[in-house]
Amino acid sequence: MIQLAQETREGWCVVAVRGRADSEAADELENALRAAVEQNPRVAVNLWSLSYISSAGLRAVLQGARAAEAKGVEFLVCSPNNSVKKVFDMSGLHHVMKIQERLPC
Amino acid sequence: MSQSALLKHTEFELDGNLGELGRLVEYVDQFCLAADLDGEAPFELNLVLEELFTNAVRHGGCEGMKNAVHVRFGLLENGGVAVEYRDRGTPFDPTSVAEPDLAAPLSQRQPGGLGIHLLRQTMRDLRYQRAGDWNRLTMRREGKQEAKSI
Repeated sequence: MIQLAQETREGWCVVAVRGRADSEAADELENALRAAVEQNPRVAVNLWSLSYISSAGLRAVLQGARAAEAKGVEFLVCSPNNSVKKVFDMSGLHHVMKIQERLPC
Repeated sequence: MSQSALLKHTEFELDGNLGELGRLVEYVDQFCLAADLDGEAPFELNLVLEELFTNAVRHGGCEGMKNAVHVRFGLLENGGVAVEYRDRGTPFDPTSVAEPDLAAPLSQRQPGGLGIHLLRQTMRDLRYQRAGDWNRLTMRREGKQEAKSI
């Protein structure tokens, strides 16, 4: 179960992701990130309330980051909990996308 | 105490559809709680089993199959967990999958292969065999020393 919310703050489109980013939720997450990237110059993905992410969820974030890179959109992954952060690290994604502890706004 | 002693082993079956992920989470959480495992255990066991289960449903021909997947947990003395995962999908050996290139730049990252990489990072002693109509994977998660909060 995943819940997505989007708001604009200080020039950033903040996509808040709550719940579990699993195989069932991955398409919904990817579509939301792509839509945000399509319409905004700066996108911050707020993972503060994300309790779980699997490889399917990672792929969704990866596809969002790739779409952002292709369009020249700034794309930040923010506030993952320790377990979620560990999965990003194990996947090497911290080398190819910006992951930070706090939101930029 | 008596309850956790009773729950040193658990096993369950899942049908071949992704709607079963919710039940998988429940079984994993119940076992981890009853076995008094460290706080990272539910996340890691779900990560591994979701990967195998989703692969079997999406790519292994298990879609729509009743009792397509069978999982067994055994609690080890040191707080580790022995896991046996079986599915009735087409033969697939996760231990033979090539490692993804984790150093590749974003534009060249291949979306596939991450899940099996995470499985290998998380679990030890992976052993695969094809047993009749079943893929059978055994593996172990190490127990983690953790100061239990509260």
